[in-house]
Amino acid sequence: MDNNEFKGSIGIDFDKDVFVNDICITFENHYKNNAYFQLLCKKEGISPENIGGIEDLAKLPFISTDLFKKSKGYFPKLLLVQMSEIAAWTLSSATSGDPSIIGRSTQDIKAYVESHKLMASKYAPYSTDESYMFLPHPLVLDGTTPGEIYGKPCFPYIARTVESWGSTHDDDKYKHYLLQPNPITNAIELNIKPLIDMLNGGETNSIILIGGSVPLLSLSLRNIINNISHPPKFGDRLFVQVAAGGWDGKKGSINIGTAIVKKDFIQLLMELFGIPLGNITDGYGSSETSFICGGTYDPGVEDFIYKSPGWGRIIVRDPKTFEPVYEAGKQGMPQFITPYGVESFIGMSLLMNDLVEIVDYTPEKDGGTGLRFRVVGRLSTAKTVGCGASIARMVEG
Amino acid sequence: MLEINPVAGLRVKTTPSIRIIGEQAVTIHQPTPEGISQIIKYLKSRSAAFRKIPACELIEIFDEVQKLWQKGKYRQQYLTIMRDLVGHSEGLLELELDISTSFLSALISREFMKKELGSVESVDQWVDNGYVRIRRHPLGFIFHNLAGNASAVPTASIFSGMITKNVNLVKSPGDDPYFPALFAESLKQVDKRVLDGLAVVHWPGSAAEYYDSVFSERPDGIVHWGGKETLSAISAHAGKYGIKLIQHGPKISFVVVDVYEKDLGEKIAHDAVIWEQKACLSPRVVFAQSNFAERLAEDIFAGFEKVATLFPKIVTPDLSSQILAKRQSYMLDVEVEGNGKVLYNKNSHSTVVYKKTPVTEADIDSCMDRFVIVNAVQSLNDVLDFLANPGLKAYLQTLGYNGNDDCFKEQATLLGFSHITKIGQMNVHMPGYSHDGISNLVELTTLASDQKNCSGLAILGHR
Repeated sequence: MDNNEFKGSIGIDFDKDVFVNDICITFENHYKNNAYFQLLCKKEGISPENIGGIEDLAKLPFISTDLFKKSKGYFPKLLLVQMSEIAAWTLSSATSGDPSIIGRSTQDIKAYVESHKLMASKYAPYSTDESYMFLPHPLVLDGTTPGEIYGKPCFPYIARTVESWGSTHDDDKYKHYLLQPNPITNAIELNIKPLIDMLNGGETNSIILIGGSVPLLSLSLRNIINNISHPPKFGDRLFVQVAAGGWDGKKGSINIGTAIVKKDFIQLLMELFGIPLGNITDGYGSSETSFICGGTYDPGVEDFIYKSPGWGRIIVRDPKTFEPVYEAGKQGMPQFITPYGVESFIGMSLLMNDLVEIVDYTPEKDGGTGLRFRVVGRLSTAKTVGCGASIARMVEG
Repeated sequence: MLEINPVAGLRVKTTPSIRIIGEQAVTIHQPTPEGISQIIKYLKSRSAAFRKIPACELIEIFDEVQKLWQKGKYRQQYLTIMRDLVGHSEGLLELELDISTSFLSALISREFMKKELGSVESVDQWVDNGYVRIRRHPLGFIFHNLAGNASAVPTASIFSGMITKNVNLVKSPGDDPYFPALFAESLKQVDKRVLDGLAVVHWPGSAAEYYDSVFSERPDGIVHWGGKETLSAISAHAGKYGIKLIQHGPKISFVVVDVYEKDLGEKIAHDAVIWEQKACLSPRVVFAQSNFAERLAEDIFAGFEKVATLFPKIVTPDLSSQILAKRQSYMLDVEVEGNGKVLYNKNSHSTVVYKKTPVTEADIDSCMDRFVIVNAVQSLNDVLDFLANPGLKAYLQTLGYNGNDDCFKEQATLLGFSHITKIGQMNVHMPGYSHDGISNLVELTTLASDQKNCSGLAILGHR
């Protein structure tokens, strides 16, 4: 984990001076140990001497997350250490069929897992008595990736966060992964029986977490309604935590064929489980970043509103000029900045291929993390060609 | 909201569908597949009447339309709508519109007919041609499947189909269903008789049932512009029914600089900016002799910056992120490896890559939206070696060339280029040029001959 054991597994959001100091150290490490990052800095006229205060964060050059795509083949060049020093390649779920591949050291893996854990625990008890996850078991997730890349093991980024998310008991009685491999065909199938059994089981004092894939949870709601005798009232004992997109109905290889209307989804969850609005939360991040932003639903905006934790910062950049924007209502691409969990790859300043909208920004609030935003959508990487040809595709046949 | 209706001589039932194209919400009133069949039947029934319009009158109609587009409501509508639809600046749209319509003037269209068909009158009547009289007959009913990247495509395709007296069903493309319909409206305004020979409609390219309607009416010819996916489907149908297929695209074009001149950079930038490199004739990779390739790359970048003051690049967030990713990819691929450099200005959207190592197919595809790769070569043989890649031959189209080597021109055209131009003139088509190795007016007609009495001509003999 390091960065002083991720600042002692932060019990509190540390102040901006600590953050800026760590940014300077991390920036210097990036600058010295990656030729590409250094070139980018030189082209932008930035060197370690130019980064010294919180106001300098906007000067940081940003790396397009597109560069990590498997098809590009650049991922070995994005390391800060020798390939021998990374523990594994972490892979995205690859909605596009072209996963991102990020080389991470043991410390970086621990740091991103810890970061997720800390963020999730701000919105719900991270460790609960029981959990029902619309996800496969981490070991099943591990089996979905190629065994090795350049002689290093690889696993889905999400697998390590899923491991420590939910029930503290490893026992299947308490920790349920609702996506299970069919014992005969080995195809991953959704089995919501454990969840329905729990809902039909009457009053409980357990703290329960339902989490994972938005599309699959959404798809299952009708089935749940049809199979429970009378809706239980969980109040503050049940939490729903989804993460990592999928609101358009697509996530990984899942496509439910329709976008999810957040307002209806939230309303249904609240009525079905008898829980308050605050118990339903979302996370926004990506496999390239080392932290995620937590989000709560705002009925006025009819959307989830996200905010970075103290160990990260978001700068929204105008999608046409890439200049930082701060005014409420402005849209742009989010730049994820953090000095933590990025000792092995150039991940301290990443530009996501998404469009977000600033809800409000108070510079001095919460140690500089006072920017709140909603996610508008994903930017397209497809190109219109017309009567001009795309040769590589055609030569490949 | 922008509404797009079919333009046809027969009114058919339509259903509205709303789409977002570029930054514009559009309601497209789409005929049913049965409606398409009815329109085709109508066109066929009007074929004889349409053929009776003399070519000189058709030339006058197009001439009138060309004037109509120089100023006034059509031009204004085009500039207003297309900016949001295709994302080009107003100045660039004006230039592109002029390119797309200027050849319709009577003077130039007559020249095209003379150079391609030998005479204007041969589409109306028998004309003397020495030992024979010749006559150009239309193929009959032509289906035009358009691509939406350049407004010259609909004007050229419609002109070619109509001036040869064919009756024409034009399917407008998904990324610009607007301009073909507006152009047809302007023709109709000049002379309603054009609807005997023309219908412009739109349906989604993926809707197979519409193509079934078209092919069940057995077109006599298909003019296809654009992408490979639809070409494959259309080729299969054409082959099955034995229909003549006249195909344009997908194609690619290059620049070769054998002799350096200071102003070439700006000329290349100008060629690339028109149609934002999405047209078949747009320059992609620039091959240049290694002793000046880097200097030329800098000239082109400066040229882009200068051209941008006249024709600023309009970007969407999608495009902007693609440009960023491309720049960063090339910095990793080329510059970090010491194989060249990436020239860009973070406040503008043009990029020039100077690359010392051989280019790849993926490099060709990167060259779009003011993105040019200048590849340093040791000799023209390096260029020919690259172009000899069998995967490229079918796609080569225009070569912008600066040099004096006729042998190179010979070899380049042998490898597949159908048209060579001066640099800075890649978007100009003079009468008599070869478009993809063929002449549209010839392809859209059959040639009949009526031989004169030859009994007294001993040289021909008699068998």
